[in-house]
Amino acid sequence: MRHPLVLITATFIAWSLAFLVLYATQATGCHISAERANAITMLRIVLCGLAILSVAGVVALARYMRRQTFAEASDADRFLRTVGSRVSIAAIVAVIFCFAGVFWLTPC
Amino acid sequence: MSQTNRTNSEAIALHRQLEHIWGTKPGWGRLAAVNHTVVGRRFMLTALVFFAIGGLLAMLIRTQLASSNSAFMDAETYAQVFTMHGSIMMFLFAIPFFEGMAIYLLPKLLGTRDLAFPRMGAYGYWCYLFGGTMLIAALIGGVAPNSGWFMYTPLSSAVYAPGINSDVWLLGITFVEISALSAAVELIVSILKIRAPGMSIDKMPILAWYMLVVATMMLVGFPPLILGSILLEVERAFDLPFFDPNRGGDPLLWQHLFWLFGHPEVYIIFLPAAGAISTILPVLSGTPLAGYRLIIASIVSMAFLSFGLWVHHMYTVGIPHLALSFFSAASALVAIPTAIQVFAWLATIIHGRPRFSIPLLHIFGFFFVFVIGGLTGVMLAMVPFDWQAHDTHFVVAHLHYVLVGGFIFPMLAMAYYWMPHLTGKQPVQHLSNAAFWMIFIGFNTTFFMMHLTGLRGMPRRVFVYPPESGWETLNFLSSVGSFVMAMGFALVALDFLLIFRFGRAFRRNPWKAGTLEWAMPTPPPSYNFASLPYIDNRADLLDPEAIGPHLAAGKGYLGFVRHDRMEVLGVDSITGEPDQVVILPRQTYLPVWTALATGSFFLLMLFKLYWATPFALVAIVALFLLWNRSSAALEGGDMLDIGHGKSLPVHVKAASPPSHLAMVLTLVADATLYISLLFGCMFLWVSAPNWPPADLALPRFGLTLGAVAAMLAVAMGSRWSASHPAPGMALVLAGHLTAGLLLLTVAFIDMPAPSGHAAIASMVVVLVYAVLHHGIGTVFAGHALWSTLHRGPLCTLTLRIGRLWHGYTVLAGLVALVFPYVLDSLARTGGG
Ligand code: HEM
Ligand SMILES: [Cu+2]
Repeated sequence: MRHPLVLITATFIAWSLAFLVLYATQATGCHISAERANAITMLRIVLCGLAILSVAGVVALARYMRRQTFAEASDADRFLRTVGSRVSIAAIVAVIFCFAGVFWLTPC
Repeated sequence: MSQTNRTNSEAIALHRQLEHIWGTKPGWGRLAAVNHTVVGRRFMLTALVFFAIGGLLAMLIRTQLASSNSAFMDAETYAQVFTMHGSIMMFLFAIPFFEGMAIYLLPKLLGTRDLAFPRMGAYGYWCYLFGGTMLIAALIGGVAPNSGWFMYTPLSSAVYAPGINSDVWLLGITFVEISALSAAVELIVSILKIRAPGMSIDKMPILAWYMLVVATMMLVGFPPLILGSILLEVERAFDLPFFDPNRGGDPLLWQHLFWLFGHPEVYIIFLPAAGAISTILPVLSGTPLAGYRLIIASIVSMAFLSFGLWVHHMYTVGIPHLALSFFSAASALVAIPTAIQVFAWLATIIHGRPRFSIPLLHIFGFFFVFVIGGLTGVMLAMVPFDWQAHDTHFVVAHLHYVLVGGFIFPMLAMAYYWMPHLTGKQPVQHLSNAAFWMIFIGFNTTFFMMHLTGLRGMPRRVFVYPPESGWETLNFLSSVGSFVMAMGFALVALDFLLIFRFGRAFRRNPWKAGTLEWAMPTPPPSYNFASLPYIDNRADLLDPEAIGPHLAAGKGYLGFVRHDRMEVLGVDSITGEPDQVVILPRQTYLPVWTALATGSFFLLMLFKLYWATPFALVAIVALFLLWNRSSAALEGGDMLDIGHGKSLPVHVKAASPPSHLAMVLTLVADATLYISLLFGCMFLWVSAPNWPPADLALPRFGLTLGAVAAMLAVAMGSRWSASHPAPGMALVLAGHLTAGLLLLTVAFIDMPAPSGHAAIASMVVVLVYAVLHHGIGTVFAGHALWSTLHRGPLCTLTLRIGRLWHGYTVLAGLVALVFPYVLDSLARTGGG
């Protein structure tokens, strides 16, 4: 699991997990809150919380990666570092852009 | 003078010896071919045959639609024709063609002699050929699939498609998919482990990066489709109601599973083509590729994003806005990495001094067509627009702009570029230009019109339309265009024949490329390189003219033969330092036999001879066990000389041998299937009507407990076997056997009839999945035990690989045991 190729994609793996969790929470939430009062508001709060958490998580992971990996400086390491940090930037953009809707769109 | 003569004759002797070992034998021996050059060529040729068939079907479609109320085909025929057109193009042409390209090219670009598992490649090819033949036979017999290439239920389920048609698709395509999965594993392992020494990960040619990403996508993209096909086939054959809303199933489950595969599939088709462009374009422009690292980062990001947008094919099924927004956002985002690549290519052209050539012409065709397809794609990614255009010919236009632009034009560029490599002949450009322009003009005429008919409301998949619809002129133009395009393709075929027949011979490296495939004679010898290079620069900025003769003279690594073995070097996946000598298996008929046995299983399923399927399964397992025999013979000598004063361990003794990685990857694909299954069952709970079922039942607690104990025995025995092989393996064997039997009892005795409700069907299928794994574990353990007792201690590699399987099985089994309890309690808390 600590293979460098897994490490440079870690932020996007986190994005995928966040995607699954948010989508599943939204669907499950709508399903079980159908007959309950106020449940939709609760669901929105939970989803907003999850979205903020995912953004924070991915950003933290990206920073951790930058510090952790590839302390040595062979060409291959520098290469992986560059690619990894670009992938992380893309993952951060993705995690913000994909889940922003939780703040204003109808959840169910 | 005499010195060069000597080395020349030595080089020729070396060539003879290598050819004797690596070459495919004539006559029947061709069926035993495992060589990647041969297998790759077969894949590409077969794919082209399927392309011709698919193209013929397209012409039939266009003939039908050329006029209103056409009487050429009836509804049923039309349904079979468009379904087969789509399915052939996607599953039997596009994917296999690039698999073939990758199989043919990668070892050459990576500076080695073959892929990591040549027999798997051959097996994959036979599966592809037999599965494809099944589909074509059904087409000829008039019982081809007829529910569209995405086979939506309930149209494709037993109620509305009682015939054999859907089964042909479900079984045939799944059979072909075996080749896709085995290719995925083989390509990943080969790219990571089987490279020229010194080729660290930052020096890999760009095509290898593309293929690494694509193969990984295939590894996790195909399992959902395979799962969907299995569930639908199980529903059709044994009445387990996964997609039947009357009994707690949901047709939407199929759509989710299909598109979870289906969208990544589009990128799986596009990325290899893009990789070819990234390889060719810099050569033709005479300058290095702009933004190598940026491109790699974009394709990695693209791979992930492409898995988060499948629902954009389902915008109209009634999913809440918020959920739609996740997928819409990801759909819009994925355009960015694509755009980055397009700009990198433009930058490469601008930096360089492009020489006009036929491949470049096709690349121009790609740019033009693909960008238009991308723009209509962004339009369709927007929910409100999609609601208007959904299921109209606008979508047909879009998908062909993307697929033909993103795959056919690059493929033609590729074909013209590597034709000299494949045939040893250089093009004589007479027809090539005319052919291109006919395809290009014909294509745009055909499909531009479909945007317009689509916007005017013409639905896709209709076989007639009324004259007053106002679609006739546009449709007629479109059909005319398609015939021009078809003639263009015929010209390309003729052109290739002429090149093959009358092409000029040439000296090495006609395009002045910097990649290693040109550092060998053309057409390539079976072993590619007489000796292996040491790579100290990016592997697309090398000098084949200098490297070629050096390697041919046997001055690189492994420039000799040893015990008639096929040898390549394995490297560390990051640093590229060689760390083992990988001994490959020789030519063998096993792949073709195993594929035949596999095919017989699918045929028995197709003809509903279920009672005979266990025999086929036993045959498959037995044949696969025979594959193992040759690896046992490799024990012995510890360090092997590789030339230049270096020695390395043989792969069975190495720290990270290819087959270990292959097992890890296989388990990744396997786990993806399992997770999709678990999520699918949860999805039914969330969304299907008629929940909860009336008669939920739980396994007897005693049985569950017994199964847990048996699984723990497997885990313990597996650990123990490291120090005490025989008793350890015996424990594993007993554990697997007990656990499997107990789970089987739970699934078929404790549970109510699975045909009653999807909830029960889910539990049963999850349990059966675990049973199958215990079954295979039993075979592994039994085989290991038998070998230990009869042939002395097993090699540690076999034990390590076995441990991976046993560990995964225990994990999956425990989940399967808990699953009924989870689903039961969920179903009770909120069904509906
Ligand atoms: C050779 C020129 C081609 C022509 C003239 C053509 C024409 C058509 C037409 C008219 C349809 C719509 C049928 C309908 O909805 O009634 C169609 C569907 C389709 N085509 Fe093509 N096509 C061509 C090449 C390709 C290629 C190269 C691919 C993929 C690599 C492809 C993939 C598909 C798919 C997936 C469908 C959807 C089938 C369905 O609705 O189930 N086509 N094609
Ligand atoms: Cu899509």
